[in-house]
Formats: sequence, C-alpha cells, structure tokens
Amino acid sequence: MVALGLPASGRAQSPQVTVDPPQLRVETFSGQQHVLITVRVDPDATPVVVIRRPDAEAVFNRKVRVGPIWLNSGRVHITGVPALLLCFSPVPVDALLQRADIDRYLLDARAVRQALHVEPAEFDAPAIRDSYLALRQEDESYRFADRGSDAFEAGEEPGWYALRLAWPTRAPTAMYAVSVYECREGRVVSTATVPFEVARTGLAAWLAAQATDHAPLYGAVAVAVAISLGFGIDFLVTFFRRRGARHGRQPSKRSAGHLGAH
Amino acid sequence: MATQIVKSFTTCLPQTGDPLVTILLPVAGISINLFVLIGAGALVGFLSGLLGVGGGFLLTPILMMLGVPPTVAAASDTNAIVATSSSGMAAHFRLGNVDLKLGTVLLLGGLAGSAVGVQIIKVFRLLGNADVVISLTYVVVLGAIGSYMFVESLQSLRRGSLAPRVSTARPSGTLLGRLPCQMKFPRSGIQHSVFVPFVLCAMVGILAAVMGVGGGFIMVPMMVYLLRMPMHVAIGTDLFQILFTCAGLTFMQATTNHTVDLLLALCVAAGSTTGAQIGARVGRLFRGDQLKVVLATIVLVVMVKMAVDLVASPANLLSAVKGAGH
Repeated sequence: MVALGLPASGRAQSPQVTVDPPQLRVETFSGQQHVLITVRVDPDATPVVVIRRPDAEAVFNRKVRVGPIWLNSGRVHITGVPALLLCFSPVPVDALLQRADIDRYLLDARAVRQALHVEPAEFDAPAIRDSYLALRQEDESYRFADRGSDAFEAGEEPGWYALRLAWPTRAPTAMYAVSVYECREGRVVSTATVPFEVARTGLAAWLAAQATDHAPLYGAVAVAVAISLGFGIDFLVTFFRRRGARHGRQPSKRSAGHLGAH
Repeated sequence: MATQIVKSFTTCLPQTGDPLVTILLPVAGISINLFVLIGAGALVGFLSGLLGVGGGFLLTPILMMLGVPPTVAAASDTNAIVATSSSGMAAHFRLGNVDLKLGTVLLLGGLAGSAVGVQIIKVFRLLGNADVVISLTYVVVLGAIGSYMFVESLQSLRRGSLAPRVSTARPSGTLLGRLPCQMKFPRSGIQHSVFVPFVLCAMVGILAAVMGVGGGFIMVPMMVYLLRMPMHVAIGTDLFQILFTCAGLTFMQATTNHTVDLLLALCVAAGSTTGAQIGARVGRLFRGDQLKVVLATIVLVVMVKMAVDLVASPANLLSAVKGAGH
C-alpha cells in the first residue's frame, strides 16, 4: 500500500498525471525497473495513458519473391509514427472513443497502420504496414490496450487511477512523454503530458560516454580486455588441471585438441 | 496552505528485481538478463570447443533475438570471439597446434578476401541482387563441404581408422605441385605454393565478408580436406588467424561505428570461454571422425535451413537492417 499525493487547491484541474519516479536512472545492475503512473480525471471520465518515444525513422529490408526464392530487395523507410508507443486504458479504447479521436491520437494498431508513412512510395502496401506493426509488437515497442489493461487500478475516490508498469527492458535510454487522455462521451476532452526520462547512470553511463568520446582508446581496451579474459580463463583451466594432475590425475594432451574456431 | 489530496492505491511500486540478474548494456542501451547472455555464450563456446565452429553465424542472431540492435550485436560478438579464440589459441599453442607460418599466410589471404568481398557486395547491391547471390553461394558451399565431410567421415568410421588420413607428401605431380613459390609448412607437415592457402583463405574471406560471419566452419574443413592439414593443427591455426581478424574488426567497429558494447562482449565471453573449455573436455570423449560427422551434420543443417529460408514464405516481409540500429 502506498500513498500518493497531488497538490491541489479546491478542485484540482484535470486531467493530471504523475510518474514515480519522475526520472528512471538505470544503472548497470539496476535490475527490472518499475514505474507507477498516477492519473486523475473527472469522475465521469475515463483515462487513457500513453507512453511515447518521439518519432524516428525506421529502416528495414523488404523481402520480395523472385521465382521460388524470397530475397531482400530494397530498403523501406518508415516515418510518422512513434519509435515506442505503449497505450493503457481500464476498458478497451474502442469502447471509450470514436474512431476519429483514436486515429488522431494513435491509440490503436489500426490508427498507427493508417498514420505510418512508407518510403519509397512504390513499396507501400498493406502487407508492409502489417509487417511493421507485427515487428514492433513483437519487440514490445508497441502495446495497445485493445482489451483494456489489467495493470490499471481505479482508486477509492472517483477519477483516480494508478498504472503500475514494469518498464520494458528493451526500451532504450531516451526521453519519453507520458500522456493522459481524458475521455468522455466518445471523445478526448482534455489531455496532459509530462516528460519522462530514462537515463543511464554510473558505470553504464561512463562506458557509453567512453565509447563515443574516446573511441580509439575504448576499442583498444575492448580488445585488450577480451584477450586478457581469454588468456586468463586458459591460465586458470591449465592451473587447475595441473593441480588435479598432481593429485593423481594425468593431464591429457588431447584436452585442448578441440578448442575451437569460429 | 494548500491542502493535499491524498489517494491510496493497493498498487504499489515494487522493489526492483534482483539487481544481479538484469544488466544494462551501456552501448546497446537496453537491459538483458545476465544469465541468458552468459548461457548464450556458453552454448556457442561449447560448440566452439567441441567442434571448432559456432561464432558469428550463431551468436549474432541469438543476440538480435534478445533485442540487441543488429549493429551492436555484430560488433560485440566480434569482441567476444577475440576472448574465446585467444583462450583456445593459447591452449593450442602450448600443444604445438598453431602453424604460425601458414597462419600468417591465411591471415593475409583472409584480409585480402575480406577487402575484395566488401567491394563485391557493393557491386551486387548496386545490381539489386546481392542477397540471393550470397545465399545461393552459401548454400552451395555449405552443401558441398558438409556432404563431402559427412561421407568421408562415415567411410572413415566404417574403416575404423583412428588416425585422420592426411597426406603430407609434396603434391609435385599435380597441378598444385607445379605452381610457383612452393613453401614448406613443417608444423602442418605439408608443402604448397604460397598462393594455394592464400587464395583459398581469400575465398573464405570473401564469403565471410559478404555473410558477416567468421567463416570458421568453412575454414576448418577446407584446411583439413584441401590443404591436408591435421585436424588439430587446422583448428589451432584457424584460431590464430581469427584472433587477429576479430581484434582488428573490433577496433574498427569501435572507432568508426561506436557499436562495441564491452559489457555485452564480456558477459558473452565469460560464457563462451568457459563453454569452450567444457566443450573441449567433452570432445575428448569422441574420436576425430565422430566429431567430423557431428560438424558435417551441423553444416548440413545450417545449409538446409538457409535453403528453406530462401523458398519458404517469411513470417514478416520486413527484416532488420544490420547497418541500422533502432
């Protein structure tokens, strides 16, 4: 049980959204991170919560059939849709909103399918759009509350909701936006958005900085560390093997005979 | 003083998971279960230790499946192979299984082949049919090597011969024997024109460059069957050239693309170096011919999978581009 609060004077302006923690600082060994999103909407309204990562161009190989063979032929550039889109609502979105608003705010797969822009235009086809959506849902970049979200919990007081979310481990460190859409009578009547940053810290942040700021040194160290690890493991194995031999077991010359290549 | 609207929920922010289980990869920017990474490395290392194969062609797809961006997966995989191959090479070197002279020629051939391969693939990409050329070439090469190896090993097993059939005679009566710049490679017990290993390794280098894999599972059979090297020397010498090739590749990837994830590579390498040692010990339980049958079977399985992938309808019409992260 946790008590969460929002400052208010009299009737608080709705909708409101808070994210706890406001910034997710991910360290090398942070483990699975969770965020708690608390929203407040008018008592007679229902919220839809959306987490977005700004639009970014995605590039894919396109597979086509030539005779009996499938081969990659050309690159497909997809724009106009978020790189990450997680939608949550206590009830299915199409039960809350009219199609126009669902499309406008990209709140379901159909809306995203319509909104995405495929280049070059001659590659644009329904199958390509479906493939893009399937890929994004597979890698958990897109999630839609088609059947409502179990993670939503209504508060004791009307209009209060909490959404507990295990932060997707595949979601990269970046700046995200958390939005709440206040839905009433089939329409979005109001929205609120807060930024939400997922940032590296500690060793991970330092290593990421070295990889870009001191690339030659980083590359040399990466090679040196890998070689040291390889020789180190070999040394340890040899050491323990010899120690074992001293205790009565003979080391075999064949023992390293199959250490492999790649 | 503003009042505080306080609302209680049964939902609470849970404690983070076991911090040692999930690791944030600094360059990839994602978190992955540490034991899955080590396990994937161990599996690949085990195959490597057992059979002398199992680097790039297996590990990169596994990492991509785990959500690592393709560029980071390929570069970090190369860095992990540096660790595995140095561990293996050290052991082989102690046992006298590394032919430094031949390894140097192979290394030069591999580098030349890689450079040519990059140019060839550029031309095919311009023509728009690079992938089908690559895939068909690979299927043919793997099919030929795998089939020959499989049949030859089975025949050896039937004969019950324990020693590998290796001809160390100078191929003076053959076309290869009349080539210029004949060179003796005492460690391998063979004599060839320097152009033979150079060209063969260059061809593997071309394939490795266009397919983005190390080429070990082509290289080792080629050294055994075409250069007539003993199996153990072939593996040791292959590791020698792989170590240098992958070290160079890691450095280039780190400086040009910034895609080497050191933590990812170390986690995978921790598994793969250990797995290689286990695989090597398990390998002692089998005869060389038996291992060749297993290797040939793996090569044929990879070939069949590639052939099926070429003709089967794909689950998705889009696939990740190795040159683009997400």
